[in-house]
Amino acid sequence: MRRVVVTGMGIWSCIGQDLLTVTESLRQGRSGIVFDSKRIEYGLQSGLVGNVPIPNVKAELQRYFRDKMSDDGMYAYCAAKQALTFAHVTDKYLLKNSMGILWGNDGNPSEISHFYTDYKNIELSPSLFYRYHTSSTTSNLANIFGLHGISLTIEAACASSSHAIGLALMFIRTGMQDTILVGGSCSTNKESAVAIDAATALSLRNNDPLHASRPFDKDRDGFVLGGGAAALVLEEYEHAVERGATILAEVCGYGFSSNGIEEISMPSAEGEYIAMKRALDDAGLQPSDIDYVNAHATSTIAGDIEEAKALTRLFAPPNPSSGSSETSASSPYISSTKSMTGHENWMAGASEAVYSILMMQNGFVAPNINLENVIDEAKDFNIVRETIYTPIRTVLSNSSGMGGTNSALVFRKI
Amino acid sequence: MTTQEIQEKVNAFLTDRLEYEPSAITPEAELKRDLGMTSLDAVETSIFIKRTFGFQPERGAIKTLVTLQDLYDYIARNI
Repeated sequence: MRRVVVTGMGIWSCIGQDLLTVTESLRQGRSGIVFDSKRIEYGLQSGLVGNVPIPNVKAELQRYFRDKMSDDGMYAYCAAKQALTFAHVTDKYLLKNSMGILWGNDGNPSEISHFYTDYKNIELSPSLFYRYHTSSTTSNLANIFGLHGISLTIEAACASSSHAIGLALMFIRTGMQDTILVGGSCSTNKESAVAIDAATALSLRNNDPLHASRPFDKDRDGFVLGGGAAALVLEEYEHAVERGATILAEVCGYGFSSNGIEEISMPSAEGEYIAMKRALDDAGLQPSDIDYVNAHATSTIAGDIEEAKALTRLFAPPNPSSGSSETSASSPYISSTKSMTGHENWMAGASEAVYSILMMQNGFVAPNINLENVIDEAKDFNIVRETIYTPIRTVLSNSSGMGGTNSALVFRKI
Repeated sequence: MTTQEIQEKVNAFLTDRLEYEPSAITPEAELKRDLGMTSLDAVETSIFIKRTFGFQPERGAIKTLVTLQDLYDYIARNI
């Protein structure tokens, strides 16, 4: 079977806008969350948000492209450019090779929300269509960089870019593509927070932004909206070796599931377990082979509990003879980087792949900050509260999207 | 509005909004070949004309114009 490796990465997030800065933020457990009073003035209940700067790309991107890009498109451009540069994917390479793109993102409601009430009196730019629709970012990146392979936007809520990586793995394994740019992006503007704010999923710890995102902690009260973009170049192993590309990690397992339960807003331990088990099976690994789990844990009341149950089932299955659930002597290190970044939603699967591979490359596990009183369901885990320096050979990265779509990925150091 | 005022407003739109190269802005410049006007730019230009000169160009009219002088003349004829 054709193997798939990561040969480039890029990141634009609230904990840094380049790989070096992000590595240091992860190592130091640095939060990127701030309180923005303008969000409260706008009417949101939660004024918390990841502090993601809008990039100034005017000097390098002509107006024709900029006009058709939303803020998450700008983030995506910066992350993708970093990843392609890292991977030495040049214009010359792209002329000879049909590179694909699979990108996870949402539409851009901020682009049209102003116009709903007074449409007939407003002259809209013809570029608006290209800025707001769900495939906007994918098609912009494909046209800017000159990609000629598969071009698809993956919309699976907070599991979107994890699925994008998994699907890219399948496209490359089957020989349909040799290289694919994968990633995800997420706006942080106030308009994009309206619906999730109304769904009461966001933390209201407005007076304490640095401690608002607290996955697996008993005092968590919802997630914090993070965002930006993350990009990876996925490539067939032999193709990468022939090009002399730097191989950062192997993507060796993808698992998925749909909860298929009645309540659309409820996460499911069963669904998450199935996805993670499938990813391990796909990679040909046992749970005991995993060194580190980058948990989905978003800091919501229900979500963290369901994931903890799924992780318990995967890593510490009940012992029939003793009735105890503590049978696994080699439970992996676990942390949720969302404690620092907030929930990066459509970008989260890709950004957490980048964060995990940075840890793998640099031999440490980033902490699950703000964990003071761990929930009962996770009390037996090795949840990392302070940075641990240790070799990481294998990572399981879990993602779960609102509506019941789950995705899990396994990365291996080679 | 004088011919010079029309030209100044159009030229400012082309350089400031559409970011066309100022040195390429000459009456004989071809909109598509020399300035790089795309189909969406043509729609933007229609919106600009309506806002600035007070009439709505017919759909597709801008795309039929060849040179920048043609654009000046079209506006002057319809204003």
